[in-house]
Amino acid sequence: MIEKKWLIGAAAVAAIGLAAAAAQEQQTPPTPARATQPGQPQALSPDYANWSTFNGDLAAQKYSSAGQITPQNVGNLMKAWEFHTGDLAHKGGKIPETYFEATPIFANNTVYIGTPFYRIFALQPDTGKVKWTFNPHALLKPLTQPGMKSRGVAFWQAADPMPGQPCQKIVYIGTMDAKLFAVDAETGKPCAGFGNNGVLDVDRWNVVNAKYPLSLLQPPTVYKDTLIIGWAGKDWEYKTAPAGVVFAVDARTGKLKWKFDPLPPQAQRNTGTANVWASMSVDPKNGLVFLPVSSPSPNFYGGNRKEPVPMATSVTALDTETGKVRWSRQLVHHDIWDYDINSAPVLVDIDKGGQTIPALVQSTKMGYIFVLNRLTGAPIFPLKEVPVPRTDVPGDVTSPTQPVPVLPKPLLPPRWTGVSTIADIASLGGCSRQLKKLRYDGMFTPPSVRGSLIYPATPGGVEWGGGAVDPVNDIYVVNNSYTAQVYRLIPRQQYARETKNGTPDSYYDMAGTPYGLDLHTFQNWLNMPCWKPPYGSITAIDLKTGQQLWKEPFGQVQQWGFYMPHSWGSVTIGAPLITASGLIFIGASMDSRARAIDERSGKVLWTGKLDAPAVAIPASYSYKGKQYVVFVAGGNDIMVPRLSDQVIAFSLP
Amino acid sequence: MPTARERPGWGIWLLFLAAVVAALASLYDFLIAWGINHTLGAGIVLVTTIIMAVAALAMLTWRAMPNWLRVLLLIGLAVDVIGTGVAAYFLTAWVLLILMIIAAIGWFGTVFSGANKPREQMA
Repeated sequence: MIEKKWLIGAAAVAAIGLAAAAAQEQQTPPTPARATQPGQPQALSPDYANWSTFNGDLAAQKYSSAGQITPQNVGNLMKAWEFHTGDLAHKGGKIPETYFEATPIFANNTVYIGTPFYRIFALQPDTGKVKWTFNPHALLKPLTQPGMKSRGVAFWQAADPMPGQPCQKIVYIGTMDAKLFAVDAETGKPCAGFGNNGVLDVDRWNVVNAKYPLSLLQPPTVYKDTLIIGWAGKDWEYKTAPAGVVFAVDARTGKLKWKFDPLPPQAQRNTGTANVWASMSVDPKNGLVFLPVSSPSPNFYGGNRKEPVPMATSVTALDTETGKVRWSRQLVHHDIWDYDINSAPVLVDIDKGGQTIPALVQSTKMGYIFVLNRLTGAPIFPLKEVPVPRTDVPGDVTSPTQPVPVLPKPLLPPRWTGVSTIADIASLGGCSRQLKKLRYDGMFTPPSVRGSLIYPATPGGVEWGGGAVDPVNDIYVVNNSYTAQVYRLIPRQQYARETKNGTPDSYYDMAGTPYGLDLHTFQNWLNMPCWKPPYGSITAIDLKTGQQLWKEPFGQVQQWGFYMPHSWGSVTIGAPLITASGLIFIGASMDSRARAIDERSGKVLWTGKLDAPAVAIPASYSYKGKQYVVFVAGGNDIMVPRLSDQVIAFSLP
Repeated sequence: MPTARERPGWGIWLLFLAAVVAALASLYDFLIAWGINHTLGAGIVLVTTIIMAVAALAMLTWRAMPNWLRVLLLIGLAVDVIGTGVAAYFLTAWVLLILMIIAAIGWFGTVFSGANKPREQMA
């Protein structure tokens, strides 16, 4: 424990100095971006008119060509329709609380919604009236998650439909217990030819360290006639866990086409996961699917997995036809912070100096934005391997360096913002007293037995929605949080004693390792954050130069109903979309509001009221000559105890 | 010593009316208002506005109120009005905030207009 503040300061200054000097030496020059020559088949051609996938299109751009709503008239936006699914549960009820995080899918002139009870609703795009519903009567038990969670549905249609035959267009939804249901997009009837009478049991392939089912919370990625399926687990629970295998199956039959395992065979004896629980993106022209790969198990201790696991916490490109690795770039070495790569990389062709660069933009929990050549994985802007703090935990190791992009500038400051004066006064110095007990050495401070301050912590940085891109102007927009948490490793015997009469919510077992973990937000007894604001912001980045165009506080913190100053921003989960008219639409804030933001200036032009925070990606589409923007306002207990089952569409009068 | 011949002035009437309307507005906020309904903050201002209304009513109706109690209530009302006003600001409950400004005018009227003083002092 460091007792003197001046010692901390001196050590920090010395560490920063040494790190900076070392970083200077280790800076790697950027690989020249591979430019596309005219005629090379590398241009993207996403479907900007519909919103047929989780991220709007396969490139995960979250961009809509709809332009009826403009910065000039967005102030007139009004509720067009509202729909409540009825699939809502609160903490303490019979059914565990709901996490309704679905992107509304607009395809086949219908809005499709998947719920946390794994029902599917097909809605009229202009009225919200129900066309049909499908109920799989799914098991409503939180087998791998704290509650019932879904991020919605996926849509497929045959390239050569057979007239009069059912299931030429299919909607899919996965469940907590690893069942993937396929129903006819026109009628909601199960597609008998898929799996076993319309349901595929993905858990049949869960054969290595099968400690829990492979929860299908993220809709599969649909590419041509293939569904590419990732899954969610609980990588904080066990040392050895199911290997993070990605499955590709036939969209019509559910037959396995290929699978990809990110773990080396020898590592599977000692670890697991490195799964893909977030969405993926696809470059159809180049036949590549891009995976955001999470950390290996367990999340916060790596003594069991000292051998290299190079594809863990990486962005990895696979051949869409075979599942073979084309390239992989690890973004966190030997991850012991739960810095999962947690969103689909955004694919964009950057026009620079008369050349077109095939790029991908990967946001991260650390607040780093990696801009890579999507054909090779090489950085387009410089990356540094920066020396980072070393672990003092017996049995564990840490990587001596971590990759840090020079451009774009990280979204968060390199060190935490310091103790909040208000929270410290309210707790009679409680925040400062807590801090004195903790280890903090800047970014990548390892978990420790005495407790480490981690900033940004596991909620990020950038969450699973990722960013959006305006492909016309090469502008990338992303919302991020500033969170501080305490990671404290607890020796096994002590952990057993402390959990003898029940396991606190903040404890994670990591069974099979010498430590359990206590992970809690760094806050005082009034639940006030012990770190200074900001808590959330939204940033626009020029992808041609890597420079920030603007950065604004995003949302408002709300505690006990009280709104905190705008300048503080809000912790944010969800993502923006961008329209052709230069508007950004986003929910994602604690204050249960939808916002329209001017893409050029970052200024809020319109706000709409929602029943709960829209912890999801909105969708925009045009139908019968009118543009709609649809939000799913499900809420999330992490942000504020306000949950809902609301789906709401806005349009001009 | 009780001042039996005090009569209520416009200030305390204004404060009382503002407090009653504020209590109703707070009830609406607590039960219905978007964004703040069923929150601790809305519950707190509901309680503080009810206390405000009761205290103002006591000053209106209890003519023989001892001076020390009157002073105590006026101090308490000042704290209540300011605290509720600040809370209303952070709740973005603008109607409630306006009512607290009106209540504050009533409070100043009560303290400085002299209308609430004993008749003999005004003679």
